[in-house]
Amino acid sequence: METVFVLSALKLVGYGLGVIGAGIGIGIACYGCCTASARQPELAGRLFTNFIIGAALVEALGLIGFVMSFLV
Amino acid sequence: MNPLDALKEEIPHLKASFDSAFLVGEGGIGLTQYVFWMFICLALTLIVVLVAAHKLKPVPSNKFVNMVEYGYDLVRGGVAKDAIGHGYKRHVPFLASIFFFILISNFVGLIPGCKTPTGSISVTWALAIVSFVYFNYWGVKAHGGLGYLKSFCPSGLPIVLVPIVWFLELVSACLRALTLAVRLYANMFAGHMVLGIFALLTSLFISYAINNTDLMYALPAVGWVLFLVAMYALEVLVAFLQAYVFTILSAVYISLATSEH
Repeated sequence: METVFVLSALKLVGYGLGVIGAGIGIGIACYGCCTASARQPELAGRLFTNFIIGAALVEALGLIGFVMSFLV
Repeated sequence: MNPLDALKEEIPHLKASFDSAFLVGEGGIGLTQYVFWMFICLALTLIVVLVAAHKLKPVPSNKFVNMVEYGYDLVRGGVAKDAIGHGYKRHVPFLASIFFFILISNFVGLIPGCKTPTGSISVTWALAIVSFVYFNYWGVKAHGGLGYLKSFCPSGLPIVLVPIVWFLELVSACLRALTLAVRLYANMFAGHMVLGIFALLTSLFISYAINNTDLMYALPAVGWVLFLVAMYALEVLVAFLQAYVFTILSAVYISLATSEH
């Protein structure tokens, strides 16, 4: 019982640690998108598309961690 | 029993309701709930697109046709033209069909009582493999078999680095199918899990308040309902965004595979 509890708790801790990276990544991407579109509002549409692509690629890593925490 | 303790016992049931249970047949061959809803979404997609195409006019006056046309224009102008560039027109049918199918699947799942087909890893794997095969096919068509394999490595590298970079690019190209599948699945699954937990909490707190005639326990339920509505709004956004992301990533992969390095 004790080991099962520790294992499931460790899974959550590991997932939380993994998400730190994805969070920082999306934060930096959003920061770049905001500052760039403030400087050049006419490019905002294309910048937003690129931001979505980058955020999706970063997010995939976080989500793989999420799925792993269920599977393992 | 305290509603928070009751939640712990309810969560395995909630999790089990997301497993692909058989509606018809059992064992190896049958119809699972996700496949059943996938067929419904497929039929819906066909009906929506065919009806809109039937009523197409140079100046649309019908709101429904206008909506479908806006979605098509988003895929054509916003996704295919921007991401692929030259020669984007032949990829628009593929991208548009993927976009509409995923969009309708995601939205069908938001209706209470329905299941989203994209909340099952098997369905998203199938979609991702379709996309994977498609962009590899066009890559081979553009460069030839050997040329396509060579085109993974950008030109102008020192000769020592070429095998390493080539191998890394090959691995990342193979991982594209995995990430496409897992992203869509995990977003849908996690979103519906959160919605389910908030709905469960609401019902548990209300039933506890009624059973024990303790009004203090009904107050948190109001908060849970508000959370539920807020998450629902977020899920509507995510449902659209994931369909958009899947389409635009497919378009980017196609452009990477077919472009001249």
